[in-house]
Amino acid sequence: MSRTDRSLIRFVVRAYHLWLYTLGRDFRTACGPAMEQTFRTVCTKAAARGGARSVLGVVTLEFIDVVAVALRERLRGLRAGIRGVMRGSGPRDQRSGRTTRHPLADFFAQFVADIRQAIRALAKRPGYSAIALLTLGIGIGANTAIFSVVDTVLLRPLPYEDPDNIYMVWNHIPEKNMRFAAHRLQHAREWREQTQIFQQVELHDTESFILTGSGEPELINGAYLSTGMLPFLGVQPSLGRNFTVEEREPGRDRVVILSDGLWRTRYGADPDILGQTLRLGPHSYAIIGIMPSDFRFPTASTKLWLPVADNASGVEHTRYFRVLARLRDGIALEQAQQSADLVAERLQEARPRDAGWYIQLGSYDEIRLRGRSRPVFVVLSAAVGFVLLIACANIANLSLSVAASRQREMAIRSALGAGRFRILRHVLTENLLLGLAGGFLGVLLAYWSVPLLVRLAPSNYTFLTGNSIAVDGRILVFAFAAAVMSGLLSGIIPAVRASRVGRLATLGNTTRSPTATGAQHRLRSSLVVLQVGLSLVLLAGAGLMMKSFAKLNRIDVGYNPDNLITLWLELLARYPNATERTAMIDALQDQLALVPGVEGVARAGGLPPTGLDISFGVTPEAEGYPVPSTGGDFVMPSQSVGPDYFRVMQIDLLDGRAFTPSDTHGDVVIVNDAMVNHYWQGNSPVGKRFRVDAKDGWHTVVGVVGDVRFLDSPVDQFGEMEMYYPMGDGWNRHRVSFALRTNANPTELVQPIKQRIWQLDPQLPVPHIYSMEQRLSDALAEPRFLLTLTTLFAFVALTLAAIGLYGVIAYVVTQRTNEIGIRMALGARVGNVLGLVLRYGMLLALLGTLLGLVGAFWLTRLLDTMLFEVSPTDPRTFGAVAIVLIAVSLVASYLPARRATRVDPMVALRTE
Amino acid sequence: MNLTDTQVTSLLPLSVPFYHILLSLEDSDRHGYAIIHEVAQRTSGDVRLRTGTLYNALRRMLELGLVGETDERPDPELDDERRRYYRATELGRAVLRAEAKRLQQMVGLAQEKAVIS
Repeated sequence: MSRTDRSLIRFVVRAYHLWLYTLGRDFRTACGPAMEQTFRTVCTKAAARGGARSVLGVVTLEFIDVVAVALRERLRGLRAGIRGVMRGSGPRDQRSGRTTRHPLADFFAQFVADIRQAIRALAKRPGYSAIALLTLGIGIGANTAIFSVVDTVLLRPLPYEDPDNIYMVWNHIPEKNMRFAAHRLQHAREWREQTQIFQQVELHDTESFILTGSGEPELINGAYLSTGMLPFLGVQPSLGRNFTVEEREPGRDRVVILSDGLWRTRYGADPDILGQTLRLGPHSYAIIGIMPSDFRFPTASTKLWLPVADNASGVEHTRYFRVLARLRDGIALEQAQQSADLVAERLQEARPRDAGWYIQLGSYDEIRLRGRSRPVFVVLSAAVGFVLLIACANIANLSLSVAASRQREMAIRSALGAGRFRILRHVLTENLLLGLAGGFLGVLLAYWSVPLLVRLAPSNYTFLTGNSIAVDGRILVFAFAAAVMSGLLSGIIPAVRASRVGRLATLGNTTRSPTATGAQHRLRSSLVVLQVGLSLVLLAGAGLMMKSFAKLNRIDVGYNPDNLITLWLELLARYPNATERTAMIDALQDQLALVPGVEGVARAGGLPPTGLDISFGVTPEAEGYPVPSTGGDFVMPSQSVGPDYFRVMQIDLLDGRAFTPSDTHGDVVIVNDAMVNHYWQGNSPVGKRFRVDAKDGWHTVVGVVGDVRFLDSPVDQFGEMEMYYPMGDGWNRHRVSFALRTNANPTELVQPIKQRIWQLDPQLPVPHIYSMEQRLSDALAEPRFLLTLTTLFAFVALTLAAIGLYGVIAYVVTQRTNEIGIRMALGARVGNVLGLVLRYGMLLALLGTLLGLVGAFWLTRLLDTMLFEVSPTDPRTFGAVAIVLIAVSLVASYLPARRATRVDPMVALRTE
Repeated sequence: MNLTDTQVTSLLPLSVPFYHILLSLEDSDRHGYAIIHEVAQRTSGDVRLRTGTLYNALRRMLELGLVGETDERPDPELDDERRRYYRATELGRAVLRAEAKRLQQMVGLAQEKAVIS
């Protein structure tokens, strides 16, 4: 055996000796030496077998084993003890035959006494207790509130049967590193046939409907489901029945299942609803079922479900579906993915048009939050965690300063025979009690703030989740754990100190104990440094978010968003006939232009910041230019717009002309600047031809306009290219959007605009009318959410750190009153004294800032994906928050410092 | 000492460590590490008793009277005074026999159903 092995064994045996202290004393005295001997032999043999590596492996297992044995022992003891306490006695003494008082009964009695004493001690210092309680309450409350959101959005399993085996089937183009959820019906059907991979494949798509009949016409979000979808999810209607397989035959699919909410609000929870019909657009549907109130699929706003006629042979739907699948029993995801790749390659051979298309199986959980929202919660959790840490440091600090005044108490306890452990437990109990009370307060705070948080949160957080956010059992467990943790964290240092002081201090010398205060001083100072550091990290995070948000707000969207109203209308239900629809659109445009305050009206298929059409799987090409990358670009974002669109939106016309009323769809297009650079290498494309796909015809480019920024996240991956089709007089799609340029406050025009539309058709719902500012602000909901919360937490952290610093400096001033008095008696001026105290405060603040800057440098990279055009280590932001922190620290130390200058030398000296 | 059936059966079934320790002490007195080593060898490493588990079991077995400590020790040259040697008691052997019989019956039941051959 090598020398290193020998010394390693010596070391681990010594560690094992200490480790055995986890066992009960009886066990240890009875078996300890024999165990150590055996352990040594085990290690020696292991070393002979495989050297140090093998020793460490064995040692780990041995150490775990000891803990397991200790736990088992304690549990047995506890059970016996509880039985003993119940009987009021302990086990029978073997020799005397009398029952003894069980040691655990003593323990419980002491525990009760500790609690009683702790309550008394806290009640004696109401100021301290109130501040501590409030601090912990805020810390725990913030953590609980954030956790309840994180739990719902990220942690809790979806409320479906076997949710881990639900996979989202994505279209995947590995070559382009691109994937999207929409599948053609035929595609989805092909995948359903792959029974060697999938146990079940189901599809769904969302749609909005105009619900007419009894009551106001209402625009309602619904979804098409394949008939097996509800059993697939393992959900049953609470009333009525599911779709049947026959209901996917065209003609038999006029049935509908309603949400609990819709049933209650619109039908007054009518128990005889089944069999009644309701009118959606041009058709009538029989109501066959009501879903339970907690069913939110695929989104929280879905209010009714229709079967999709997915069996229609020969009918190629224009609709695109999202596809969910369960894997066959015993097939692992990887295996399934490999098989799917092979199938995809086979399908590609059969349909060359789909070359490069694969599917990717993704966890369904993933869609609850788009990947980029996950870091938001990581950051928020970290932020509230920091707040709680700072809160704990504050309590520890307060506790320490109180401990200084309690040295006498501890000394008396110690003199009366309280052991070190007893005192430690006493102080710890106090903090645990504070923690629990703070936890209670925190739960109240969370209970009250969670609804606020939900309202503040971007709608897609609740939108995409199957659960609702609420404070429930899981949250209470979390809060309890947080309370105990913070009780221990804030109590351990003061408790250890108190127990030490208890031993050291003598009754005679309790006013000043230089060693104890010196050490205590250092401890408190380091706590403050830590607090300042942590709050600097939070401040830096908030600062970066602020800067990023300001940039987002000032982003050049490419049009003028001020005094602009947008609205979109669903026309199909009221105007099933295309000619009537066209007439209505023209009439609307004319009427809207007559509303006082409206300067211009433009129609469009969809409007920024989100209404972009995207063609997938295409190969765009400029005539006479090479296709830019192998296989084309696959996607082409586009928008259909009326003749006045660019003028009303105030989008720059860079080249050529805008559309005229006589331009018809298909002939001509307008492209944006980004496209010119991409397809025409920067040359003017006006007069040249362009096509979106080989199977489409050529379009002549008539103009070039400036780039418009869409804030819809899926668009990010497509760059900023965009093509415009003319939306001439013959427009007859189901929906139309209008952009209105106003010369007055847009919000004041909303009502007049609605009135004008209703003059044309009193039955047409106008639910989507917003000012462009409103829509842009909605698009920034997530960054705003994050900004608001981080700023709030940073502010709380800063306040707590300032209180901590103030406390320490005030304490220093009290401790040094005599010294300051002497200095002043000897002629020190106010400035000298002020400087003396301030210097100390600034030293702590600077150390903390330095520590914080290092921490922030590491931690703010978490924010990287959430920042817009700001580096996570932006030096100006870091500098600014450091200055803020130091300024606040200056104030926090100035207040006690000023008090120091008011020390009356005579008074100070008299107390000496 | 006469052993009643109830005395024996009240201790059944035996936990895995108990069973292996008794088996190991069947043919010879052993000290702690020797038990660990014998069990590991006999089971080709399938059962590895850890020190804590072993001594916890031995302590309980001492209390229950299944094993006893022995004062007979080997030559001082081979010995280490910190070692303790254990020996199965009469009760221990009886319990081991009863447990083995019980297991045999259990296996027999499985064979009747052709779960194993």
